[in-house]
Amino acid sequence: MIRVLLADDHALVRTGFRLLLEEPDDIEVVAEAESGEQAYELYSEHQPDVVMIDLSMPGIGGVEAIKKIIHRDKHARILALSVHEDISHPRRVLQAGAMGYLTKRQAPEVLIDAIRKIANGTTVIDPELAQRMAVANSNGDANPIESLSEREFEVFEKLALGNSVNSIAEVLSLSPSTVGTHLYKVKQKLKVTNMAELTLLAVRHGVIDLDLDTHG
Amino acid sequence: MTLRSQITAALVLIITLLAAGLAWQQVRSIRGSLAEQIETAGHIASQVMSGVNEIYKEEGSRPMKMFLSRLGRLRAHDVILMDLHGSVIYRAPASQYKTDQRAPDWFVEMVAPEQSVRAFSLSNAQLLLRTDARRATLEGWAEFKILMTGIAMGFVLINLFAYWLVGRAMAPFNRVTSAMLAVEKGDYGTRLPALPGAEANAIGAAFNTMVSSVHDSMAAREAAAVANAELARNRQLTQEIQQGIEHEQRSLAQELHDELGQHVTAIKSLGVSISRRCNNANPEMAKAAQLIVESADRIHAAMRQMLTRLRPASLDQFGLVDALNDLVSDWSIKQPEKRFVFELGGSAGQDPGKLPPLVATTAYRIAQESVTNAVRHSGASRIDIRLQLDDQLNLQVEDNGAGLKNASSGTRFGLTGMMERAVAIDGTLDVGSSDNGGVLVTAVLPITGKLKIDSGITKNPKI
Repeated sequence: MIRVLLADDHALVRTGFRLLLEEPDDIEVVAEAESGEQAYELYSEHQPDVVMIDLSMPGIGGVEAIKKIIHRDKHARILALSVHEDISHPRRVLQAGAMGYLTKRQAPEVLIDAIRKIANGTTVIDPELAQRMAVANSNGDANPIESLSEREFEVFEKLALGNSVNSIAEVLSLSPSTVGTHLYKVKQKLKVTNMAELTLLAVRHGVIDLDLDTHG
Repeated sequence: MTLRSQITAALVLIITLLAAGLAWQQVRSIRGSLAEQIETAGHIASQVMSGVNEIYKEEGSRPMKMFLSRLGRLRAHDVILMDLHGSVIYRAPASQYKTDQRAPDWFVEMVAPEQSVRAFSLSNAQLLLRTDARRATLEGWAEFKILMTGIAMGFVLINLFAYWLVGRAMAPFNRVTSAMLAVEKGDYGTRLPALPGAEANAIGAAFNTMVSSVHDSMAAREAAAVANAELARNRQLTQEIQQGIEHEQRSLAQELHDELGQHVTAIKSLGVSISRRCNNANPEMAKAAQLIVESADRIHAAMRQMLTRLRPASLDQFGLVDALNDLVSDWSIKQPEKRFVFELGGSAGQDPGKLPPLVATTAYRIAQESVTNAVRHSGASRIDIRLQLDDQLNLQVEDNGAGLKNASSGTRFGLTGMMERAVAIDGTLDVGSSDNGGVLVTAVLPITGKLKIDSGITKNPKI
């Protein structure tokens, strides 16, 4: 059972999302918050598997709430939702430590799949936005991924797909500490600080493909 | 010292010198003739006396006294007969000529020759013949007086005449002076009529020319001041309108997002939910629900367009750099065949969020307008936005299109708007040609310093 904390200041929106989320049997909405502050409090209280948070809430707002929750629990799995379909919102949100970003336009169709993926530790970005971010990036500097060694690239790809260090070590027949060293190098070379950013980079450069199943 | 008194003083000096010269000449001539007269008279008297003395030498003083008393007065000479003890035996009587008149001593001193005495010895007496010019100078004195009177009268007359003449010649200058004073008091309509006298007339004409050019330039300056004030007012109004538009756009965006956006999201969620739940049980209902979903999608898409056009949320939320990134990203999606590049320089990478909101808005709108112009009108295939943040904000938008010569009036209008925005916050905007023939827009905006108009941006904007 995936336990979800639903944070949105609009009751009607919460009702809609709750209806969607409670359709499958493996997802349960354990609490609803109306503000960033409340989301933070309820997170501590309920320890949900996934936090689904609207970015435009009164008070400290979504981005600050994400930062606070991550500050408290760096393993928190947060899916951010917003009306905005630019590239700076998902980027900032992922930098703040969220694992996913969905536009509200797309959310109803892909929400269940996204929640499952987030719960599973996989980064989720609205595919259209991921595409935009890739385009934006291709206009910029040289591809940093080219600086990775072959082994580092392998580790990078598997990490981006949500595999744990131990499972990668097993697959590649390496010791976990060696994989850890590779991970450290990858993060350094790509100038990323967390898994979400790493995944985002992988998506941007077409290393991995994020396909969200629209049929839950 | 007025010109008039200067001229008068000069005249007095000249006439005085002239008079002195004349007087001197007169004195000399009087003295000359006097000396001659006395000399001649003395000479004759002396000869007579010598002859008489020869005759009466031995007989002593008596016959001589008789002779002398018969002889009477000698011209310009005193005749004195003295005995051997120095007592006067006889003295010729004083002249009866104008006895009531006397030349002044100084005049006598001046014109009379030196006194001389001739002595003739008799047996028992002595005869002295002493020159006495006193009477003789009277005639000279009378002449001298007439001359001096003439000179004095001439002096007064000439001076009076000169005074009158100079006064008459100077009269126009008084008019010039009073006209100048009138101008000084601000009456720039003052003009001088034709003045008598060539110089005065020339000065008057020059004065008129000067005053009318002063008047013209004053009028021009006034007109310029009025125009400047008008421009400042218009500029202020433009700024206020622009601020108002920004404010209105921001609240519209907020409203759209908070109300419409949320409700459409709710509707769509409910639609999807209904559609899924009815999928097998009630296909008709599922189909209807799907229609609601599609409709909601359309509203969503339209709303998103409106939001972006009104005001990018990232500008308020994350700052200029993110907003420009989004701008470039948006255009890259809309015009995939063109290349849009955003470059960041200076210290902007560190903390772009600290920009004053009005500066960020201004820079964003300038970039937005410039990119729109480049995309729509220039035919460019590549558009570069460069942002450099140091002590001031330096924004460049460069395209490789056809350049300014093909700019439409719409573009020009857009440029004016951008300029107004830049000027409003004491910045500058320059639109020129880039090296590759396209358009290069450069905006330099001060980051610090007082901003003229409050931006009206809320302290904690929602995303």
